[in-house]
Amino acid sequence: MSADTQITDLAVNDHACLTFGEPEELFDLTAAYVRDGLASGLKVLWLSDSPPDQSLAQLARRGIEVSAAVTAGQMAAVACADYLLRGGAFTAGQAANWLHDQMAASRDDGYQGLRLAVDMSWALRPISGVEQLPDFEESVAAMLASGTVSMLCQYDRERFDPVTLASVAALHTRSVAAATYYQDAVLRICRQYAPAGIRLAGEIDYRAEEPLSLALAEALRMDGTITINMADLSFIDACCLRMIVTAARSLPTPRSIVLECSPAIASRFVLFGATDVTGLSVRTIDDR
Amino acid sequence: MTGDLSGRPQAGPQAGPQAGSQARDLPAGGDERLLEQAFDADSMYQLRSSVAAHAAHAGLSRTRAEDLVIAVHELAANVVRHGGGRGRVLLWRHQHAIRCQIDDEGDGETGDRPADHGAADHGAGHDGAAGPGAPPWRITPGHGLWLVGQLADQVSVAAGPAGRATTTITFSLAAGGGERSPA
Repeated sequence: MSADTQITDLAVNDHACLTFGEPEELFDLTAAYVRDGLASGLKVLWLSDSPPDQSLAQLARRGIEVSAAVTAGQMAAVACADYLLRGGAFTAGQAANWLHDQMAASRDDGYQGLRLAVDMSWALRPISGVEQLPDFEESVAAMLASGTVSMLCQYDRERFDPVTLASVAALHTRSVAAATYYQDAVLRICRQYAPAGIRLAGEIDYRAEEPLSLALAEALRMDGTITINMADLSFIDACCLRMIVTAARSLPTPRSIVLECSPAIASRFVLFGATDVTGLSVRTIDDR
Repeated sequence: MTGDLSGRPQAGPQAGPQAGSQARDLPAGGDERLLEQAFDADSMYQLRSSVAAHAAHAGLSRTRAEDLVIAVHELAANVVRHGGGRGRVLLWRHQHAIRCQIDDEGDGETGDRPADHGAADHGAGHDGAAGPGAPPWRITPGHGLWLVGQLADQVSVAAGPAGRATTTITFSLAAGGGERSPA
């Protein structure tokens, strides 16, 4: 088991174990996985825990051209319960058959490969046969070993117990998580993959100056537009406001930076002169 | 970005209305004491949580409560970083307003960081490193204290014991009273 791999570095036949801490992180990493799959001409299928239309909307919000891909039949989002489970029960054999059928169907449709993302949150509910999950993961490993099908199993690390996580992670070729600059009980600073940038969640103040500085510096080295996602940030102090606006001011002219935040935090950025900075835009998102 | 934040606030935060050498403004008879809490570098989060809870309970709107929280944070952070390193916050209701006093109670010369605050300017770009032709910061320097002046309805600074500063901020409870941060 190697250390965490970046979501953008998966091979065509990886069986990867993604751990995520919050819905924003799950949607971000899935969006990057879907985006890269569509761009490579692969068929993409997401078995999500939320209703499929909501899952697709989350991908679209991150700039993925889902409606075109869905119309063309290249992409689909379906509810886990409808596919992996039959009559509310899980059996490893049936799930493996289902996967086999999907692989065959994508080949028949002329795709060079298949990318599957499977949210495993269903396994947290009282479902009969859930103890067969490791068997299924093991058979997946065998089925993907040669070929051009990759599967991203998505585990909520806050909800699955560490023992389960460790045992299923060992059955995967890689472990994937968002690159994290800082994490403690009240703050998380990590990379965002779709759209590219960084994400701040919780409360941030001058004590996080160092990791924020590092995260901003790395973000500035990325190509294109940078997004700083602060959707789940509830507090930011003057020191960090200033650092972000200063970083934005240092971007050369054709590049741009988007700050996504709540109305309350947006008003702080406005106070700090964000609207006067060329290439900097503040996108207000609904309060949660 | 070194000057004001590290300076002893004898002169007071310059942007603050009514900055001056007013006497200490402790709760008087009839005032309702809401919170007294010590803080240091490791308890800023707890301080913000307490102030937020009491501000909401005392009737400040959500927006004004958030303004009070950041104002208290900036003043406390100033004590931690550039003052004695630890202090005390006293929050009370005075007539139709919430008042908050932040005392520097430290005995150290500086808090958890050197007063020159140099680390702040690494990596993300020094103020002066934005490239030639970039306009200067419109707020210079001491953004934290500047922000307090922008948000509070009233700010007063007095010299406390041993030359340590005591800052009192007032947030009006009157509907529509006081400056509101732009939405």
